[in-house]
Amino acid sequence: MKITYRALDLNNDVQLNKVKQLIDADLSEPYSIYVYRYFLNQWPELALLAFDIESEDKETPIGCIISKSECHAAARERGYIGMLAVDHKYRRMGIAKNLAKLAIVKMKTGGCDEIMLETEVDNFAALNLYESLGFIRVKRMYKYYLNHGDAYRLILPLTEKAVQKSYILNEELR
Amino acid sequence: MYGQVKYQRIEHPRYNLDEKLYLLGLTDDPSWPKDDELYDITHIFKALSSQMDAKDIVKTKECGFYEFTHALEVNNKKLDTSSIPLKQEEIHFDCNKPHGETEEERINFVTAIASRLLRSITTWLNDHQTFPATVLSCRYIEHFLIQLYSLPGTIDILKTGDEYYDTFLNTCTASVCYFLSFVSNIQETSILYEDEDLSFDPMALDSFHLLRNQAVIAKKLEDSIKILSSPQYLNKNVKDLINLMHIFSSLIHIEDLVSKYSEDSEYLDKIITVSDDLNVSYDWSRMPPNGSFSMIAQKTLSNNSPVHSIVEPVNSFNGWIDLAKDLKLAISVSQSKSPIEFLQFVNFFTRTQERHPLSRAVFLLFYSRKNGNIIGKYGKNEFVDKIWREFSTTATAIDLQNELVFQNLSLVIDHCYTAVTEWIRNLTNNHARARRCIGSRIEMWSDIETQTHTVEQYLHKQPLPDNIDSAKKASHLWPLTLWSRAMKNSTIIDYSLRGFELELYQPFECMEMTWFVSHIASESDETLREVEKILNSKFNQISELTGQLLKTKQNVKKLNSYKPQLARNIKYLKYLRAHNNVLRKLSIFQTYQFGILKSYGIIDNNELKELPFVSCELLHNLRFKKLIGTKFMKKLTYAAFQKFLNQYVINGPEFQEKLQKVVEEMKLALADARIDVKEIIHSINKGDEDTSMLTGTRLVKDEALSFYEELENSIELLGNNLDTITVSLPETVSGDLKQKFFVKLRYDKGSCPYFPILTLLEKQ
Ligand SMILES: CC(C)(COP(=O)(O)OP(=O)(O)OC[C@H]1O[C@@H](n2cnc3c(N)ncnc32)[C@H](O)[C@@H]1OP(=O)(O)O)[C@@H](O)C(=O)NCCC(=O)NCCS
Repeated sequence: MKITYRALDLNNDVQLNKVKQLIDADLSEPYSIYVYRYFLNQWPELALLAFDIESEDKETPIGCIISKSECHAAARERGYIGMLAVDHKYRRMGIAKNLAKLAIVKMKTGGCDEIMLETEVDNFAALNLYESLGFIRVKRMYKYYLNHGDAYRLILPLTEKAVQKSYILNEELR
Repeated sequence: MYGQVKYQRIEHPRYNLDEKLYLLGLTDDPSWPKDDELYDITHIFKALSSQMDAKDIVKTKECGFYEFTHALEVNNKKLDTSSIPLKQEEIHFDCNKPHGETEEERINFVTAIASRLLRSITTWLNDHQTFPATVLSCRYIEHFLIQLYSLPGTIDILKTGDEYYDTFLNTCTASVCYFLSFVSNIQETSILYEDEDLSFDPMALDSFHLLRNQAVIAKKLEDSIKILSSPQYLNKNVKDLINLMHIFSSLIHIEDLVSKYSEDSEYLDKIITVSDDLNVSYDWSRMPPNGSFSMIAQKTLSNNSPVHSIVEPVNSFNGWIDLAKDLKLAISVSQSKSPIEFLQFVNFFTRTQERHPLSRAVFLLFYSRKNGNIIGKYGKNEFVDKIWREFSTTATAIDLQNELVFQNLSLVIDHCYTAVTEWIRNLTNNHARARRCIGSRIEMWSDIETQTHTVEQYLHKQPLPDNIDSAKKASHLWPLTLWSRAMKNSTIIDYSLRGFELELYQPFECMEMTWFVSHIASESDETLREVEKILNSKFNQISELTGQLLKTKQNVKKLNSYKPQLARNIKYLKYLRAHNNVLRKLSIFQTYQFGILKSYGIIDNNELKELPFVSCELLHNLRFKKLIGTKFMKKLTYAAFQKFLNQYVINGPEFQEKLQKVVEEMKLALADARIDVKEIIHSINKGDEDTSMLTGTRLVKDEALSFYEELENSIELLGNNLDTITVSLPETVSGDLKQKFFVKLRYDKGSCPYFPILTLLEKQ
């Protein structure tokens, strides 16, 4: 098996459908097509897919990460990882970690000061994964998901701006 | 995983005509729209969409971000409520028909509906389920609310021709709808958070607001109970129904707690006794008629939430007991006899247990009255003044009777009032929200400290007489600065320790957090000692002076009134210091514990330093972000932290001897903490009578006891863990022990979650 990673092709319906399938299969949160479109159409370069190019289905993604990057509180550029999933057959091989690293590099080079995400408090796989990349839990949010599950918000600070209070940064900008 | 906005409140009913007709019972097919009423636009749609690029976004002005991301997707089973499958019995369920062939069947049906409806309410409120998946799944509630729009002013909605439905079930339904308007009003106060505390989407069916006549419903319930208790029903199986009706009857009075600030808890007691009774005697073999609980409302009403399957309530009335007990506790605050009791109430009300959201909201609306009065006893100035006096200002120059002092403090009083009421509100939130809010207020306390210090500096320059000996000038004490500093310190400690409770910190972060808490607790101890000094000096001053001042009777009276207050304060301070000492000693213990594991190379506070994207300094600063802007944090840089933490690491020659010393130190810390905890527990148990401490926990005795008993358990567990660790580790630091061991934070039941156990585990 040989895994390669590349950005999503927005015009490729097969890719989009497989991405939906991967995510719908395991994430508890039900996303409508509009949610996918919200991320993918605005930040296609931050949607990365993994392919097994030695498999029969080498054009079908076996893992994906969907992210965005926006200015937060007029103070810092915040990268955000919205969704991440890897096909069951390919788990525990470091694919998710590679996808996350690639996305982080992209967001970092794109000027992000921090990267944020949320995950269910009992999703130990995801928590281990993100924490092994240096994310820390900054808050717990009760009943954050539609299934009433609690979430942790995790942040990876990349620059000084990530650790300054927004209002202080805004005052400095003024 | 991206979380979405759960739903948006629709302010006005927006039914289409067919829906409305169905809702009014004028058509019997809810599966709107019907095929022959539709015009097929597929070909137009396809033609237009074929010209579009995948990147194109079709968006209208009315469609903002939330609608855009949350728009429901047709045919998506998780999102499209119009695709909810319904059984025939649900579609054709008729609320205006008496279900059940015989009287006995009808009694059973009505009892089962009423029972399930009641338990659905607690499933909704206690277990945080959605409204449509619980209460609104009851067809009688839906029917009642719909009919209310067209029949405002009446509550006789059910017209089946059968007494069990038209009188008894109808009244129960009215009671629930009345209660809904109360819950809705609570929700509108924004005390509770929609997503976190209470999920109330009535799907535009808000006619419960039209039900304003509590007395009418109360009377009907009373009459119903009377009828059912009459000899005519003696041989009928209505005992359960009567019990249930008692709960419905109490339900409508919960509102009185905030509308009339009623302190009457009789009906809450009734809920408890009746629920207890029902738990024992209720006949669970009864089932409601098929179709009487359904997802049909989600399908047919104005709904932009995803599909929520019905949550079957459990076969128990314990939910009602929990709700009633929490409400009773919330209003017991009115019995507080002093600000200390009031503040301790706030401190322990939700400390070890998440309280029922309604009880938290009721507490806030109950203690702070519309006229600005606190529990019907104190006005703003009096409240703040009493808090100060119970802490540090008694017999000092901070005497609000003095015009000059009052004028200079009036702004400070306002700010302190805001800070204290904010603190009360913050602590009353659910635990996750509470920590966030407490954190946001640290800077405010820091500002208040500066502000009080400035005013006190100014007052010192004024010719203020000493409050005890008016012949002298007031001495330079800082009672207000010390009060605000003590509040700031305890807020920081609380904020930091609650991070453990919420499991926010990873094992590698523990050392920084526990060292930080111990550091602030040391500062806090100094502050409390300062206050103690003021109080003792005032006490002594009075004792020495009373003889000389007997000449003026008024003075003697004043001085004598100071003495008991000062004695109280000293006793209270003793408690505060003991409490603070327990937290300090346990934090020191934890820091040492981490230090030992770090000395063996098993864990490191900077262990992420090798990771590609990580700066340990940035992680540290992110963790302490809420504290940025406070004066003391300017000194506590990342580098300073590292220096302090390294003092806890054992290295160099004579490792074992040094280790033994550290272990001794740790055991001493635990022993110290144990003494203080025991003393606090003793005082709580004795109601502060004949004790050395004043805990002020009379109203929250169980809650306070459970907190300190958890701490007591933690002390034992931490001690045991230390023993386990010391025997598991080799005598000398050799080899890469990180390959063999790892550290996990363990949260044992019955122990204090602020001090999880740093457990050493062998890698598989
Ligand atoms: C979470 C998920 C994306 C991980 O994918 P993966 O490719 O198997 O992960 P990796 O192989 O890259 O694992 C990297 C690290 O994550 C952690 N991890 C991954 N799966 C884990 C599991 N089942 N249990 C515990 N830790 C796990 C481990 O620390 C792992 O490192 P290690 O293998 O060296 O111990 C995958 O399990 C998944 O798709 N889950 C369902 C969707 C989901 O939960 N997404 C995250 C929502 S925010």
